[in-house]
Amino acid sequence: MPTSRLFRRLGVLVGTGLVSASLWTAPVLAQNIKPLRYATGTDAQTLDPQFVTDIPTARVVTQIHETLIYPNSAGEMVGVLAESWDVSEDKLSWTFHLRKGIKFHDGTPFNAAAVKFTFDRIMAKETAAPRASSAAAIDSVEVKDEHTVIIKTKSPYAPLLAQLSAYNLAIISPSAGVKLNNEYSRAPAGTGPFKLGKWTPGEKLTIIRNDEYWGKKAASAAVEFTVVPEDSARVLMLMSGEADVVSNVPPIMVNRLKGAPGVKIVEQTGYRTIYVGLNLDTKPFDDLKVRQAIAHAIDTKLLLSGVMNNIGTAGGGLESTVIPGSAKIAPYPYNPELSKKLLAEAGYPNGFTIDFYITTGRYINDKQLGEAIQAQLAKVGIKVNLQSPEFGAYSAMLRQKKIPMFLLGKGSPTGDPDFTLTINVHSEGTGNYGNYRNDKVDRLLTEQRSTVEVAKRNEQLRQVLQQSYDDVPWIVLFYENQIFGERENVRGVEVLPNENVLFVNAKVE
Amino acid sequence: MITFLARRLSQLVPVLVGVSVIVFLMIHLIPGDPAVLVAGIDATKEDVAAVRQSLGLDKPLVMQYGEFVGRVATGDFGKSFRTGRPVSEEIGVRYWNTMILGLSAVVFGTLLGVITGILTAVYRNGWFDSSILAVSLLGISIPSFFLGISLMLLFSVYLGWLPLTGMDSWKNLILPTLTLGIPNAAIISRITRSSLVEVLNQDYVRTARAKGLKESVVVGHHGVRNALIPVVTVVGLQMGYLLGGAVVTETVFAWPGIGRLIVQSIAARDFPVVQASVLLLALTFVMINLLTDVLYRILDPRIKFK
Repeated sequence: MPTSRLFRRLGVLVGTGLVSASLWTAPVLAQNIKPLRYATGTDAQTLDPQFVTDIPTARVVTQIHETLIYPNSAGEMVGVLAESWDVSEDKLSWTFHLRKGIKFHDGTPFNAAAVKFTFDRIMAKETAAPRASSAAAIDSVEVKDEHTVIIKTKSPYAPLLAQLSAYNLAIISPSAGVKLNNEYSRAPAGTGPFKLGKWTPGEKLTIIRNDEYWGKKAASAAVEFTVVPEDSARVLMLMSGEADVVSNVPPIMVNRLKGAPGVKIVEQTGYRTIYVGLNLDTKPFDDLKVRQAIAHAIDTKLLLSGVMNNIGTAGGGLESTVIPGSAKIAPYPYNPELSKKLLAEAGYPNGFTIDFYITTGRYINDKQLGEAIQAQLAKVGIKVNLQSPEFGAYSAMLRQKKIPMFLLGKGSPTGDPDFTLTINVHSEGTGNYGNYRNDKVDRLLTEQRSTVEVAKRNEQLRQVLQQSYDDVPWIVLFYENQIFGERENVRGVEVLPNENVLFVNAKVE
Repeated sequence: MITFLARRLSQLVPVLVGVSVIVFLMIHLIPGDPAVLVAGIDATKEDVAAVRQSLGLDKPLVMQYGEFVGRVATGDFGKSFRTGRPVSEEIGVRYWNTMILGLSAVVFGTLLGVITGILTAVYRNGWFDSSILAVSLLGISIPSFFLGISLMLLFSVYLGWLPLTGMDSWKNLILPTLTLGIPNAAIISRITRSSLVEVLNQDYVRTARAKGLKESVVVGHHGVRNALIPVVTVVGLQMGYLLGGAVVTETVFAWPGIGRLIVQSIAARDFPVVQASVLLLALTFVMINLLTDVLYRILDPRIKFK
């Protein structure tokens, strides 16, 4: 080796040594580590799993924390912190055998007491957790021994395993939870493959590899989440190589990126349904024929190809077909003649005028979808006035259940239809914004909850989806696909159908 | 001077009280429930009620305002509804980020604007004047969103000279400064030109020329100084505008400033953050006005502090 090069190498070594020595005490990233750079539109709101209510926040929290159970890539529930489980004869108590030898990031051992602490905390009134109801089915949590915990439910509860995979029920360190209480977000201590490095809210958040992780260790030493709110700015960052991975690429830019050098597009089907809701308590939507007429007047195929650039999956049932337990139902075929006939039969041969409420910028191309539907309905004589209040006002109006016609999306945080169908379809559901009521559906929804036999329960769920499809309280437009952009040398980023992103195997080659 | 400042500063109190009442009422009266936006749109009634109680929103409006004033008097702005962090922590860094960007844009815009303004006034009606006029018109009319993205494409993606977003080094400041500063410079350039042209037609300027003074002294000493008063007014107003109105630029360049924070907080009905940031911006705006008045006095000794 020529001397000059040797000296240069030595210089680099000494330099790196100095840098890491100077950062020894600080909990920040040593400068010689090149993190995987991920640009996202929104910052995390909290790092306390029990206070998470949005996807971008969940995407950070789930790198640091783990749940007892989590779906694998096929959507099947597999053990994570729980190694195995069994359910009692009366289907009321579930025994979980926990994985041994795991430590939280603060050094506290993971055990049955930690599980009990976590669930007791989210259920406690003082915590005022916004998703306390995600543990509503749980009656009590008992510590049987160090590594065995028994979860008792009030009544037989089939979706328990899926429910336990919800990010709100990720297990937190009891000592961090007690010590920090509502400041837990500042120093979260989970069991995940990454721990928190540094967080500058609104700007940047770095997670670093947990070298004591019980499973396969993270492929990257660190991942940096940078907040870049503007869609086109994120795309430019990907093109210039300033980011390795970017979230939510707008469909209109997909073709452009496909041709760009060094960049690839990642598309994943998702749990989010985009639908048009109709309010059955307002005229003329109290008439089934009018609702059917609307369903036949909206050309969902054209919306997918023309507005969405084919980014999305067709379907007619309220639950996305990639959710385990959901049913495949074909969308209403586009048939303007039939639509006009149905309108005439319902007493509206010349159509009618209606206010259609849409979101702007909340779902991919929502405004464009609204405008396209407006044009399609005009062809059968329905005059649509588009209304787009900002989302705060929109959400308040929706919850009053008075909007006649609205565009909305619904996701599925647990990947089990029970959670969202109960909210959106049951007559008492808070997310049933169109006042849909069907006794048979309500009864089936109650029954499926306690039906632990999978095949039987899936049939009940299928009937709920089919019946609500036939009653047309909403028209499903499509299931939203997620589009991420990556540099060509990025490997192992896993975008899940439940909209989470796993970075444990991600690296830049 | 001191009594003037004391009097002006004491006027701050009613202004801030007024602003706080108006902002408080406005954000409480617009539709939208913070508890729903925190808990999620289809959260159960029980979850929403628990959140509402923990945020203190179940109390009557008058009591909420009383508590707010009581806390602010002791310097406590409460905690953000969205993140649970203290409001001072949410606002602090972002306020300075916006100040850095705003000051940088104002300094750049003023320098560029005044210099081109003087040159176009001196060489008025020539080719230089008309080309600057054309560029200024473009600068005033171009939307900052488009300007920002174009600058990013050119300097970051194609040339690779400057970073796109964030605030890791001084280089990150250049593109947002240009985006905010160019329209600013265009306005200031036009004002400086017209004001200076008017001054240069005054009798005392003709007298100065008649005395045989060099043209540079005539323009620099007799002209520019007297022409600057309207410019200072506009710079002051622009500064205020840049502090609150840089939202688009902050968004495009992912610059974590207070403008974007306010917009997000209004969307999320994060009352404590909105109240505190608007108060802080109102205070800044008043201080800038005060500074402008002091500058008038320095530029024109005939103006007296009363």
